[in-house]
Amino acid sequence: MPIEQLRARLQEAEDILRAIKYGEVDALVVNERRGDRVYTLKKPDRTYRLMIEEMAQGAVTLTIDGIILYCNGGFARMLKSPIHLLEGSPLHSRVSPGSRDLVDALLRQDGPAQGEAELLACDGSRMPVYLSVNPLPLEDEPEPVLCMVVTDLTEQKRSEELRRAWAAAEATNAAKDQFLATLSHELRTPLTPVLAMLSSLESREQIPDALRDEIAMMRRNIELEARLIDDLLDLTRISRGKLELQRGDVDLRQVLEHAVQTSCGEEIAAGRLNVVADFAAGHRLWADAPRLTQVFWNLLNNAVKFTPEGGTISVRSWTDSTGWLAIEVADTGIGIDPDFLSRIFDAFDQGEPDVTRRFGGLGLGLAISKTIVEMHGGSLSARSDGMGRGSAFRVSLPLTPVPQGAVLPAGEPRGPEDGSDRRLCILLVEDHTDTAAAMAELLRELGHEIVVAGSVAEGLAKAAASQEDGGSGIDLVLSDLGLPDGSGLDLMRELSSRYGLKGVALSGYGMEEDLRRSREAGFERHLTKPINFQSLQAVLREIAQR
Amino acid sequence: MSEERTIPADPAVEEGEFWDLRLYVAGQTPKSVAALANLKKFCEDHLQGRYRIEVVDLVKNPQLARTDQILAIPTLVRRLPAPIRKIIGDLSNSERVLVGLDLQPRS
Repeated sequence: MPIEQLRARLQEAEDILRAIKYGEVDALVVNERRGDRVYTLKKPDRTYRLMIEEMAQGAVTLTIDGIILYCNGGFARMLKSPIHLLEGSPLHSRVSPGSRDLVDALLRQDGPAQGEAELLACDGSRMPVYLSVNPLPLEDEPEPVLCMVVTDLTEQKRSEELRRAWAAAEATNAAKDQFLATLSHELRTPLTPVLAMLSSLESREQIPDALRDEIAMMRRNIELEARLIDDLLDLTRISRGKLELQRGDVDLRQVLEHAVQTSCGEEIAAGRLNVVADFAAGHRLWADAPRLTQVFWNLLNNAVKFTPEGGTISVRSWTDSTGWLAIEVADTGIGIDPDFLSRIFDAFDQGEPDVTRRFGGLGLGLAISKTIVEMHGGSLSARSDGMGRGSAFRVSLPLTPVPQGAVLPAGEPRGPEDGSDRRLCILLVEDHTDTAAAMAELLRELGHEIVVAGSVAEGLAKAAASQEDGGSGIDLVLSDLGLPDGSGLDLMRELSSRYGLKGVALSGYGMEEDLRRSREAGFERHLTKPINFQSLQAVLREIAQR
Repeated sequence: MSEERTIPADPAVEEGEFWDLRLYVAGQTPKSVAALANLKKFCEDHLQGRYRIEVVDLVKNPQLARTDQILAIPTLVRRLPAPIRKIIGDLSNSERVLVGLDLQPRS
């Protein structure tokens, strides 16, 4: 069928002409003596070329001696140099001196090689880069050629640095927290036996009155010392955002009466100051009672501290025109310099250095009080008509309703009137010998039976012995947390699971985290050293009543 | 013929014929790239599930031009269904492609 074939050939030739005319083809196959060759109108590797030219990474071809044969725009931008100055120059001169050995090693490798290096740009700036070197499979080249891809690591290094700095800061913070917790423990521990002993002595009837006053003075000063340690810790908690409120149903009037009694009781009894108290009844709110008490203590202690003998302190509470609860502590004391009034809530600031020398203290109370009030959604403000003209501090609190079904009292120490005392058998675990002895004596005076242990192992052994004796066993565990052979938390977990014992933690560690962990270990209460003996007694009474 | 058995069971495949197409290109020249893109789209529109495209790069293997006596690039060769047909150019004119491949609507 030669005609058919011829027609098909003609048709194809026509098609090719048409396609060329309309620009639909851009390459032809030509029969040559050496074989068929393809001739293209545009370079057949145009896409690859464009890709190499436009990519963000640097692309370089090199001789094995490190002479740059070709480089793309990306590489030229990294080195801040025109391409024609780079091509033909040694790569060696484009990397920082510290990277030269590494680059030489990469070029000498037989196969693919990678590494991190530093480029040296024409303006002297440096850039961290990742280099990936591969030999090119070019059979027709007389000399081997290497290709190298260069990736900018600046961003990566920066985020890596940030991450490292962040991790370091985190570690430092954790170390600081640990240090503060330990410091507070160490500072509080020696105060505990002294305070316990003094409280006990003070309440003994056979002590002469003159001596009793001196003992009371010693106790007050130790309590003050403990409060200073607390203030320092509180301030650290505040600065780390770790202060938490434990809210409960609070009768504001009770809190105020308690604070006045604690702060001004002795001044009133001694007739040194006049205290006028006028509290509105029925002020209930959802708040942290111990923390609010702390605020009023601070305000009242300041008033006592800065008011000369014969002066008057007045404490009032009422509902203000906006429906908020207002509490004002006013005094006729030395007053506040108007210049200082604006800085009065800053930590460590007590005004003139002279004030600090005369009155002592660290000046932390107001800063802490302001934070506590603000955490309750309220405000704390100060006013004074000037030096020598008294001052007044006002706390305003929003009326936060008590949530439905919440009946928990907010952990106020109870008065001695509620309930009879039952004799308890108490396992006291405390490694500080003086503290253990003083507490044991005090608790025995209250009529309890005390078993003392100085370590986790001893605690477990004594509890086991007491259970096996066939006696009534241990009623309550009072345990320190930092023990020589382990943690009081572990001891409590063990005693609670073995014998179902209840416990109260006694610890110098009073951070929120410590309280949470002791609750988790099975302690019903966590008392912070130095132990306030009244609180301990109240807790014992509560447990004895069950 | 063996390719016919490799395609997935699809009702459309049972009905129509299987299309075996070969596109001759010259590396990545603009017309070569355009031809492949146009062909891909054309097949998806008209031959979904019953075609196979083989791309032959004559820059890499110029001797393969002899197989189908290729002169201009790009060129598409319809190897199946028989008879063999050639379409020269970048396949930008879809009407010509329909006619060239003899893929008129059969209704």
